[in-house]
Amino acid sequence: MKKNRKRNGIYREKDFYIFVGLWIIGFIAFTLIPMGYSLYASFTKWDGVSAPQFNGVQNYIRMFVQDERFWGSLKNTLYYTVVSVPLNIGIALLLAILLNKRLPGTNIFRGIIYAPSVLAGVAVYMGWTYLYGNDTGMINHLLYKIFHIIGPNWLQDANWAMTALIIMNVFTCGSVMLIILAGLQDVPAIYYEAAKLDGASPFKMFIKITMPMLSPVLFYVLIMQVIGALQIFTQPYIMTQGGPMFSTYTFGLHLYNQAFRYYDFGYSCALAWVLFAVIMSISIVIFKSSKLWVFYREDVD
Amino acid sequence: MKTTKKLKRMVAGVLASLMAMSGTANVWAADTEENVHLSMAFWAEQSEIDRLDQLLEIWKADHPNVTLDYTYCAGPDYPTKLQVWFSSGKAPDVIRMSRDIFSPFASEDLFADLTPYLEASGSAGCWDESLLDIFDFDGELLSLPYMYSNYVIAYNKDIFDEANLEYPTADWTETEFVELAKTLTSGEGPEKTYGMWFGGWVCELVRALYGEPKMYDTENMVMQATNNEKFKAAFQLLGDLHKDGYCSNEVTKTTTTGGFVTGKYAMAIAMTGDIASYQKQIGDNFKWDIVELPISETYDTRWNTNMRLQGFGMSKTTEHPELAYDLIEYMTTNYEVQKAVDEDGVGIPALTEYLESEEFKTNYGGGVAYNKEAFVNMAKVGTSWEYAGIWADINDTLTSEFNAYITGATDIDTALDNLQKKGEAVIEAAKS
Repeated sequence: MKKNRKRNGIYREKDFYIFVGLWIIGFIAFTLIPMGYSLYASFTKWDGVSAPQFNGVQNYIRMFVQDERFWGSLKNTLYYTVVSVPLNIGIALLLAILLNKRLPGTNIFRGIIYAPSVLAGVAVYMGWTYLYGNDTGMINHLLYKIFHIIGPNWLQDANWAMTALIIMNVFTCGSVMLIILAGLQDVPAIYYEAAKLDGASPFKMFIKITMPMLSPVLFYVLIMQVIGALQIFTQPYIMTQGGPMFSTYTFGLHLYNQAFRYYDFGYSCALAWVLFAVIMSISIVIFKSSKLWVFYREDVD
Repeated sequence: MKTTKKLKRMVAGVLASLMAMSGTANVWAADTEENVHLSMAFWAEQSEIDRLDQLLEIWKADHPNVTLDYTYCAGPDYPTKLQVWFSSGKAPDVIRMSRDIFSPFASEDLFADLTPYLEASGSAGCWDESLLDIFDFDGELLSLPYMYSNYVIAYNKDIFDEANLEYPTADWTETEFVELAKTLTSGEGPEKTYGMWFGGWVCELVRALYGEPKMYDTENMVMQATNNEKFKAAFQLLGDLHKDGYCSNEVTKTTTTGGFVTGKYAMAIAMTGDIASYQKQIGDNFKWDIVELPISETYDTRWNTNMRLQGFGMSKTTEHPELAYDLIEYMTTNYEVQKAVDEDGVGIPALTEYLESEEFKTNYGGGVAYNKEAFVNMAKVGTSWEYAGIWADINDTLTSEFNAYITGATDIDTALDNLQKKGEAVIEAAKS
């Protein structure tokens, strides 16, 4: 009995700690300690070369009171998130519904739509930069040749640059589409058959069956997309450098510039912690709201 | 008790002797059989790495007792590497540096003053004195010149021929340049041909187009964007060329058009490093050449160019300063090394002996012949610009204000006023 308990209890615990131990060591060494140091550094003046000097909450005061670019970058990031996330999810949902129909060629379309999501980011963004080119870009070239419209200077016009980034982001909705498609295929056909017998219209079935059944998937996708959008960095870094006139200057870019271009690591760490707080707060709000709109099958079962 | 005292004295004596000898010990390190470890850091593209690899083998063969380790990375990652090395106290002995990213490191007292070594070696005359001045920080020489790149104007001969216009020459004026930019602009939309292309470089040129006083004074940490007639004139001239559509707007430094090689621009700003891509990409598509920047009649000066001077410096913490200097001198004064720089096409070699040689004049990197001397002539009006630290922050504000001006979102006085105020705030924050 004792021997058996040992096998099931202590040994299993030992195995558990051996397996998770390496991860815990890695987490402590490469995440927890750097995070702790970054928190300390956020209260210092530190150029990344000499020793940090404690300066209290000066970085935070500067951020909220003096730094125009902090507010500008926060506004740009929130704008990008609010517009691009629903747009991305909406289009992905639409595509997933279309691809969920058993029609010929759906597998090919699925592959085509998913393809941009697996391509390397920087190369894709460079490609888009040239597509958006004012004088030589393919988009403006087609606009001119087909409609005789002189297109905007997409990435160099403050009124268009953010829109250009959002449009580009739509083309990466393939991965979201795939997750939603998996969710759609998981909805039991019996529900639709029962609804049909009751005379429900396709729209009503979508609202009353598809959406509730899909809500856990949409919740997951929403959380991941919001976090990704709030951290947006590579696209503006490669395509616009935050310009023109700081119109695509995002929080991530501000954070990067402060550390690696302006050599103000202390301030950059403070920015990182504020970004962390923003992401955390928005995630909590979404989680709290999920009680109102996310439906789990187990709730009924 | 007596024994302890004696022992202490002995240890102190030995330590003192060691300390006294350490300064001189390194002097002979290269000539003794003692095994010495030396480290070196640089940034480079793959072709340059291969070449440096071969050249460093030659140096190593002359120093059999030295183990030379070198580390390298791509240019954009290099400043971050420098920060990591210095903050961790593990800076390599010999470090490649560029003047435009030097300021934040120079002010931290991390590099050794090479003046005494240079005086001892008698190599001071190997380079143009102005190049040595660029690496002078508060009287300390922190690097020896290796190579540089600067700006010229490239022009498309075919477009000039079609318009029946003469090619520009070294003595051309600003008025002639503006006239050409206007005359050679034609068409609309994607079919438009522009008279001039500045790309993102425009916001660098504007900082000191007519020389002193520049937009900011880095030495005294002062903004000079307002009450600066030269800066305002430069801002207006280059801004209006964009505003009026004679140059394409690529001010954010993101080249979306492919630049001069596309053949859509009659003239374009070209850096030394651009020539290799011109040779490769333009091929037989059109004929081209380069010319010095024009001369301003109003300020009686040629437009100033950024001198992106690169060199090799020595970490202050190196344990083998003499040996490190030996390597630095090899990289900067050896004829074959300088020839390799020229052949790579990454910059203009700094060594005067090589610049005066026939080899330099006739080496076009295997491509078409061009007016290579233009780069050397432009070095006479070279000025060092800043790309790092607080100056990068102010440069970003300049780009934004310049963009606001050329798109009509603001007028010139407001733009300069904003720049002045924001620049002052950044400098003030750095001082506090």
